[in-house]
Amino acid sequence: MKRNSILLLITILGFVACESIVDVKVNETDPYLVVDAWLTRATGDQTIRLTTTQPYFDNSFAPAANDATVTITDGSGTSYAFVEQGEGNYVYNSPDTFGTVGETYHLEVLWEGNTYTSSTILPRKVTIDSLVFNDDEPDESDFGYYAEFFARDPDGIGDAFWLKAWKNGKYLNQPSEIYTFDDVSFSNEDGGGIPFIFPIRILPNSFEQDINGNNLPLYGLEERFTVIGDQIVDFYGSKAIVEDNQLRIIHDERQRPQPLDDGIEIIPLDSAPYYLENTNTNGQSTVVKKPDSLYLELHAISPDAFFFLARLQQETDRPSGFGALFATPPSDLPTNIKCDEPDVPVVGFFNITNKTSLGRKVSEESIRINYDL
Amino acid sequence: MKLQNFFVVASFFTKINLNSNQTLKNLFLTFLLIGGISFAAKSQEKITLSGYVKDAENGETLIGATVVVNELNSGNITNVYGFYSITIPPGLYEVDFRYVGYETITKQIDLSEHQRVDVELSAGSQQLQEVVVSARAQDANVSEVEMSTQEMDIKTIEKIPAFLGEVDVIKSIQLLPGVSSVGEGASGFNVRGGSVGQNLILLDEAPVYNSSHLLGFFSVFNPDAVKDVKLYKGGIPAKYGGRISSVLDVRMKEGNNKRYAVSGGIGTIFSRLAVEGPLIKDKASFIVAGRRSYADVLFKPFNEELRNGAQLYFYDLTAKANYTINDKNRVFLSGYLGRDVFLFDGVQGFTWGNKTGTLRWNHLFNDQLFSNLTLLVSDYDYSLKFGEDEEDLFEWNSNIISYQFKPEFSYFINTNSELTFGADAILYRFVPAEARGVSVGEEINISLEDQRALESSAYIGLEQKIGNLTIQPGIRVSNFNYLGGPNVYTYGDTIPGRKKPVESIQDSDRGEIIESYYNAEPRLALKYQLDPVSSVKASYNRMAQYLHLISNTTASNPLDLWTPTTNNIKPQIGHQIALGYFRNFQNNAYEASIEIYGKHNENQLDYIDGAQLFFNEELEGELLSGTGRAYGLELYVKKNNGKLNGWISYTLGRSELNVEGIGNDDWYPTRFDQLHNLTFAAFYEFNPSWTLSSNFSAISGTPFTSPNGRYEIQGYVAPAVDTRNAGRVPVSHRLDLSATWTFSDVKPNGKPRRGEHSMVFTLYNTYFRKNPFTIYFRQQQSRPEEGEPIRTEAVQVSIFAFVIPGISYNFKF
Repeated sequence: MKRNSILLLITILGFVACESIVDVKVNETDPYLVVDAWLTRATGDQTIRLTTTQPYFDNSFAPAANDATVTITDGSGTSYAFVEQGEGNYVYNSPDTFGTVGETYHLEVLWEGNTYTSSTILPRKVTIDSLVFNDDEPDESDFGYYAEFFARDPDGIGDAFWLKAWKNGKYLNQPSEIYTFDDVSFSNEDGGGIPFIFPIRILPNSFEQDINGNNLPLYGLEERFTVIGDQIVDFYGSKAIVEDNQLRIIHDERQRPQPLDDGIEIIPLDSAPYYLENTNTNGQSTVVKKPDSLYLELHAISPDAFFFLARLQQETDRPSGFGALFATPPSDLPTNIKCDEPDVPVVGFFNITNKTSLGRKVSEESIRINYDL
Repeated sequence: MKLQNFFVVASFFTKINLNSNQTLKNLFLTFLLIGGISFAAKSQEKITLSGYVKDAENGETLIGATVVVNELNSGNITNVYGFYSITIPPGLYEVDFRYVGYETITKQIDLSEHQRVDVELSAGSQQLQEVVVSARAQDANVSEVEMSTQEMDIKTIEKIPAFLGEVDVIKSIQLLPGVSSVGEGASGFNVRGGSVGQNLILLDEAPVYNSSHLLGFFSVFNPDAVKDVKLYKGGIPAKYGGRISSVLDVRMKEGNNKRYAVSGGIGTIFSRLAVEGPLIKDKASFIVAGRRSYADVLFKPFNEELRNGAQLYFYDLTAKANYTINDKNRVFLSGYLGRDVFLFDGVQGFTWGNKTGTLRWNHLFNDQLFSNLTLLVSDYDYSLKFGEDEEDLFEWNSNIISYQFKPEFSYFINTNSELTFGADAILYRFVPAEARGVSVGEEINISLEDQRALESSAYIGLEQKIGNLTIQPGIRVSNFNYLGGPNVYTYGDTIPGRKKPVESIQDSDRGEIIESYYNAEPRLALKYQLDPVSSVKASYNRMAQYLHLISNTTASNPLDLWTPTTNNIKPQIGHQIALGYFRNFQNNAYEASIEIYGKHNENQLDYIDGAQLFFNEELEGELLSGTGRAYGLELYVKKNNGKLNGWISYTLGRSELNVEGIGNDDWYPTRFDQLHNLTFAAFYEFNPSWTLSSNFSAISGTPFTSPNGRYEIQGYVAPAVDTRNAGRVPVSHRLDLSATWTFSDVKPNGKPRRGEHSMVFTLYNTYFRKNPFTIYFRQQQSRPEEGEPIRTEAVQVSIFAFVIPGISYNFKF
């Protein structure tokens, strides 16, 4: 809450804070084990990933931790062996639904002579009741409709969630898109459940801009753009060229002298939701944007896992520019993995989530109009 | 007499130590002492000369004016209320009343009975245009026992080029040795390796809990209403307490009691207007000064958010009135109200501000005993609000409110000794979070409980001259009671890197004392005059601080939370030793000083990794306690007069912490540790119309925390970190220039011009230096694609990349 507000404030401030990528010498330590064990109550493959740490500026894939023995044991003593499948992935194929609510699970990893252990409790799930796309403005909104989902927090506190979102089938995987919340922050004193509060309900809305700083729609209905020659004159405020199954947005110096670091320049066609359509006999074509879709998974997680993810977001979604004044210095993430040798470092997290899901396309039925006609 | 004083102070000292658990007894002792002194004074065959020294033009009392009895070659200086008192044998004397920049008045006084002499000094026409770097006696830096202090009057501050052409008190003191800030845009300032929250900032005796406007770009003090600013970095007298690093004592003008006057300015970022004048001529006067920024108005045509109702501005209003009832009594009422507003659509957003109110009564018991009684209230709050209607909203207010009662006494025994004593009681109310959320019409209260505390103290201090030696011993005894009301938590031991576990939660009754702390805070300052132009000084002080400013962000900001000492948070204790050599050259034209200091601080707060400081009932479990140390060397050379004047200041310093549970328990630098800090400030008077000023600073890079590795988890790249503040940003340096054009007294058409007018042109960051504020580490900005590794990078942030020009027009009628 606090952070978002400050980021907004900084946008308004429009101070001339400037950033540059610099070379910095940082210390290096010997690599140690990373346990990425996030399982979900479901049938089929359950994967645990074991890798090692690497130097901070080593921009390659994380090195795999091979030849480990990975086992999960539940409260009744049943063991599940995870089989190594290369690249640090250890898999258990569950024929039935894996996991029972309220049960404690123990993880044990044997690697390079050390034993690493952890445990977690499988939490209860919460159902997503509905999902709508809001239309707040009578005149054409320049950023599309914003999504809002509804669910009710059950009685009692201690429920925590990780909302994962897929827009048009693509997982929203930016650090700013780690959507987590717990009921401690909004439940009343006796823990009686209330509907998820407003800022939570509109979490899965992620602004994206093109290189000119024009907003691409959050969620929209079908739209068609006529291609004249190989150009679209007005593609959400920018000019765009159709070439080789992609749409290239032309950088306009007048709008923004410097291209945005994270602004989109190329949009692939023939992958959701954009495709190229040859409609006219005279050879004129149209770029079509199909209605956007949103698919949500609401994962109930343990309170420790919530804290871990909140910290992960804090460490990865760093406020830029003037916002750096409000940032906390980087620090180690918490971990619930322990090594039998106390001096051997280990990082990572073990958790089993309990999910429900809901997906919807933008359509006349799913749009909610919030103004008087 | 001297011996008697010593004895009294010494016995007070030992008794306090013996009975340090009984405040009442201590207070009783204080009163006993007052009685004893009065009695002692009666037995003397000496006569007292006393009175006020004022500015002839506007009736403002002059702080630190010198009153010298030429025959005895001794005298006194006026206190913060402009009062002096000299007790000497009867006789015919020639007495000089001096104040730098003013014409000296010499009076023949036949002292056969107690005499009250109030003097009004006129600003010398010759000196008026000159920069007055010090308002004190010209050799004050050598001759006074005070060390580690810096005083600036408003005329000096007005000459220093500031951001966007605006004069600023706090930006100006940052040019002095031992004072720095983390960077542009950071709230507050750091003194001798201390944190922002360890500075006691007083505005007419009232504590100001956040001294910044617009994050850190401007300070809350309106220069039109400020008379005098004094910073104590060390050797802090016993009358001040409650913070361990420094005291910034800001005094407001009283208001012209001769005639109505209007002053103000129109600047790039804000405009100012001050009106002052007599309510009853020579008896009562007032001043009202206001400022409002208008960047939001000016930029409205260019910014869509502003057109859509976003607001971004600050304002402040400073007002003061005083009434001289008679020769012996004077009352002052002053108030401050300031607010910063950041709203992104007219309703939703963020605001913060200070409010203070002070009522003071100066009373002269007799010619030698001056007293001041202060009643004040100070309130700092911030609030955030989100949600467009009553169905769905989130509101959060946080406050610190204090009520204070402070009697103070100065007893001018004779020209060689002065005794100060008094007491102080502060009642605090902390509101960490008064918050509610409404979701689809269902409301929930997510407030945290208020906390209350009572801080009380008593002090006594003596200044005694014995030949070439001046000593200033003092002691302050303070007590802090954390009061009941909220739940009381107890925690288990610190486990490195983790939150402390809650062991018990208990109810408490409103007003019950949950925890009580006592501290004896001895102070000592010594001066030995080597010859008329040089002296050596030494000081020691022990200070206790019962309020803590909680912040774990890169820079201090308005959301930082003030929290009391509790059963879990111990009071901060600071010890400081300072030594200095002071020498003036060429008839006080140049003054130079070298000082070294060492500090040892106990119970310094730091935070566990990823501490949650807001909406956290168990905040205390996330705090760690450790030891701090700071040491350094300060050099200062100043040229006081001539067409070219100014100063060079250099500080070599270290500031470190050692906290169990952080960085393998080794010493690590604080965020504001800066090894070298070099500043030049120069003022050049071309002619009566044009004055040029410049300041240049070069400062070692501040620390940042860097990772020593990275790892992947759930498709994100997290940093692995082991030590805090191990990296250093590159050196910062910056040159600011300003030119002041004072309009001539005569208009081009030959008619006299009414009032004083000037224009100030400034260039901030003249040579486009991109000074690094911090360096941070992040994963790539673009969306990670499947099948491609994620890049990580280091990013350097600079607040200003360009020169910032500024212009302002100032007037005075």
